[in-house]
Amino acid sequence: MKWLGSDKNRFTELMQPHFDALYMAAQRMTRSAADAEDLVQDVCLKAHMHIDELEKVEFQRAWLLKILYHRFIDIQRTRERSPVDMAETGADSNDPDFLGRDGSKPDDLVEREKRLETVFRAMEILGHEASSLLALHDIEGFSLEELRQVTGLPEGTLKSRLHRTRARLGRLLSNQDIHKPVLTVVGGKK
Amino acid sequence: MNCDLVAEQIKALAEGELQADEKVACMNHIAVCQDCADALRGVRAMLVVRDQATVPGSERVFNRVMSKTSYDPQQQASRRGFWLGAGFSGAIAASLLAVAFALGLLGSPGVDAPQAAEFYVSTQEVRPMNIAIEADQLLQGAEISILLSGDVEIDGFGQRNELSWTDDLEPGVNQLTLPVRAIGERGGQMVVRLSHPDSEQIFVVQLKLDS
Repeated sequence: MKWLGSDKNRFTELMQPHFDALYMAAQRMTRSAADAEDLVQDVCLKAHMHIDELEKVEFQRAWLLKILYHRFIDIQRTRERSPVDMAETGADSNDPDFLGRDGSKPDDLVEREKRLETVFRAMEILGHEASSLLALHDIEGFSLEELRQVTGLPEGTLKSRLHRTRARLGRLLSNQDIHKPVLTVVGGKK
Repeated sequence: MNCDLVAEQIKALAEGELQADEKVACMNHIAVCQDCADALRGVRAMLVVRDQATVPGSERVFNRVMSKTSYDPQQQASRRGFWLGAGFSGAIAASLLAVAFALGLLGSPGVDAPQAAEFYVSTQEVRPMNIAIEADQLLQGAEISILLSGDVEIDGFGQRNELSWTDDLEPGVNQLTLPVRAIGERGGQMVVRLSHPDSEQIFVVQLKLDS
């Protein structure tokens, strides 16, 4: 893989049609314009490293969104284990673009943030593959036929996997243990 | 009504799109089936995520992200030389590369274009790659991310191709040593991303096979 000037144009052309979808998906997950941009940046870095593969895949948007969901779950894990971030809600409460756009009262926003945090923690527990498959279908609106072509799995298998994953998600959300933060010290200089 | 039929209709049920008789049939099943009741709770949660307000990315955001992802190697050559010459040339040995990050540009918040370097890896031995990170002041909570691709690995981390952690960077030179090994004939690439609320650096190291 070469990182040459011509690659820049090639990569930009590849990414442009999908950028809005990526950026909006990132906003849903991070609830912050700055964090959404960082998340999309991570996706672009990874996509750039695999630009040859990206050019070949038929469903580029699904391929890119899958990377985005995987990366988001990784970031969630890192944050949950970081003592620095334990006090943070994950939302950028100072970002005017993300406050009360739909007329919600602050209390409603706080409640929604808590609910979303719980959902994202549950998605983390479900794992990369299950979470991203469910998100592609239920959030991004990919049809079963599109998912069949993306994953190569038969439609019947996809249906049962999606149903099982939804049920697992529902069970996790009804489990109070998921609301407890995980505190693990990581990092440090090598 | 059975679980398979409910599975097909559950998203429409959660969105209130079913006809009254279909809705009654689904709810009657869900009332006696814990799996489907859980699945309904699950799909409703995903719809909460889906229905959050979002805005499309502006051209400015798109250009900013693209500028961080690509770089012009000719433009970076002089910068690379400066940093190596400014204090790290003594650290370079035949099989050891000192890569310098300049994270001291806090007077101008933003992102510097990626810098680049080469490092020769071998299938016969693990080679220590030194990364020197220079900060002009204490940087608390800097995030360091390593992304590997190709036929290379960091010794001791097996198949993991992404590492990420946070650390405080001291003023001056902070050295990170990564034991790198080739596991095939293609060589590879390492992207090192160093981010801090006020600054970000991306460094690309081409990992070439030492023949």
